[in-house]
Amino acid sequence: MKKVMSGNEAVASAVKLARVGVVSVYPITPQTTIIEKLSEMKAQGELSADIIRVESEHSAMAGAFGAAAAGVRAFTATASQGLLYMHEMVWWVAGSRMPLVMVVATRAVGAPWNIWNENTDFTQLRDAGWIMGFAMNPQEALDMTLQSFRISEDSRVFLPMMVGMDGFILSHTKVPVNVPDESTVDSFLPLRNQPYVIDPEDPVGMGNMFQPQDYMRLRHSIELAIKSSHDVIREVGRDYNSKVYHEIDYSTLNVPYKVDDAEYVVVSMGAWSGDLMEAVDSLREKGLNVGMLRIRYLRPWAEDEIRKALRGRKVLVLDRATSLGRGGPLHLEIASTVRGDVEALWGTVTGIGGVSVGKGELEGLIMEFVEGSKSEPERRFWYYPERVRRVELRTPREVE
Amino acid sequence: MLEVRFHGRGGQGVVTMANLLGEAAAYDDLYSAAFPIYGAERRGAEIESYCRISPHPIRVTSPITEPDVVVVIDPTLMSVNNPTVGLKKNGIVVLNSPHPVELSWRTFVVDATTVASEHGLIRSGWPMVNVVMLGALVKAIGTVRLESLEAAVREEFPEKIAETNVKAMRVAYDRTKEVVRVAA
Repeated sequence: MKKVMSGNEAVASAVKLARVGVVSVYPITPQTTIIEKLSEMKAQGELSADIIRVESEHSAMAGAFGAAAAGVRAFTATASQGLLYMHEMVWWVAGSRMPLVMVVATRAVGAPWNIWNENTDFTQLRDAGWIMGFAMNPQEALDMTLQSFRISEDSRVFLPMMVGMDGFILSHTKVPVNVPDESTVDSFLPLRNQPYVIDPEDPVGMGNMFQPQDYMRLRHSIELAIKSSHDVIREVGRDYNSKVYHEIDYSTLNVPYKVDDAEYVVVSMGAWSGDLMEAVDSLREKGLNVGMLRIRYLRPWAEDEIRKALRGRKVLVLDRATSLGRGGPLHLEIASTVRGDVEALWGTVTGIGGVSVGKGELEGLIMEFVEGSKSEPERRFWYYPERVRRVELRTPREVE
Repeated sequence: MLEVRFHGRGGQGVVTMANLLGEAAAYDDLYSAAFPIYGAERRGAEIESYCRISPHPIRVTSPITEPDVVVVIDPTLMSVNNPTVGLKKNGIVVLNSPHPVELSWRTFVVDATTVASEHGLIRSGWPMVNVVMLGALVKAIGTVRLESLEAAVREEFPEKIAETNVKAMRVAYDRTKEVVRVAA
């Protein structure tokens, strides 16, 4: 059934449908309405999960981890400063190989204070050992949250999974979303599966001091689990398509759009890929052979898929996130993947801290790339869609 | 695709307006995307919200800068900022105003503040004109049916508040008039 709802409401619906046992919550904009919606469902008797209210995000993840270790499907959500405060536990859960799910409604990181969208809070966790998916619209936020429980709990993976979605742009935008019914989801999502459970009858040691060789083996096992998650994600995606919803293809990790005959390919992630598709269509009408490759999974990173899609093309990578001093993280990943197999490679950081980048700006950017890459095949820069206004600051800065 | 931009002040329910229009569109089997600009919102501050309506799935996510329709629910906004900025040449303005206003676009006016007051739609001392103005909007654009909007209102609010709003919305629909320009 299609229902008009925001990205945050779509996530809450998925959590309910996944029969989550414990939701561990601490509010932060723009994620808060997820846990508000879950609390509302709980108050109305629609949600059977226990909701644990904690005093910080560190405890929110610790609560979810404890519940998961005890054998219960667990969920939490956060963003920005909250995710940073949770940081230690984020790594701990992955190292413990404990399946659980978190949604990150992305937001810029302070200082200075900023509540608007950017993906750096999400991308900075790419080394933490989580499976990391990123939605493009509220429908994907719902679908991917449901899939994430099964991916995370697959014995070939046994890792936590986070689903990112652009703060406000997806979290607060209301669109028609297909919400599957309970029996459909039950046929797709089996009962919880995990590597070990806290059980007084069968005690296990958790997170103890590990000797160097053993520790190294354990870290290696996470590397291998992320590698084997490629096939799990495709398999789960195909099953979701056949049992639950088929209008979005989940059989691939990343999503090509008009790439087959493209001379130019723009790489992106998240909500602005929608605006980018419009820009691609519009430029194609003007005779420019341009396409798009949308990154849906930052971890695992589908090297083969990506190399195949980009080989021989001129590539522009859009980053709504920073790896300060090195441009954007997607550009770094793409550069290390294509390794000279492309005709041109530009990386641009834009849309930071809520700066709006829509179809018009993207068309302008692509045209700049088409012209500029003729004489300059490699370039890294920050793109400002409008003139930057002057702000009185006491810190040095080059941008005026 | 039809792009509608709503202007009001924090506390007047501008965000809810965009959401209701989006939900009404769904009843008419149209796609919609409704969203607010969040920021320094607080009671009394100027707020914008947006709603796109289309027969096809909507891919664009950025704020609306060249709307087809501008709805201004607080008359004082016309003089303090420029809500019609970017409005298309053949666009439409729907305005809460006690008297006719001549603009360079097709303009529809209704005295929504009076309609809200007549129906006792007062919250914290303010006449709540948001749902009332949706009646005026539907009269002006006709893109969604009044019945669909009523269904959306009934889904959003508790029964009593919903019924009062629906009644007031119908009155506003009837009282909305297009201002035929006198000046060339």
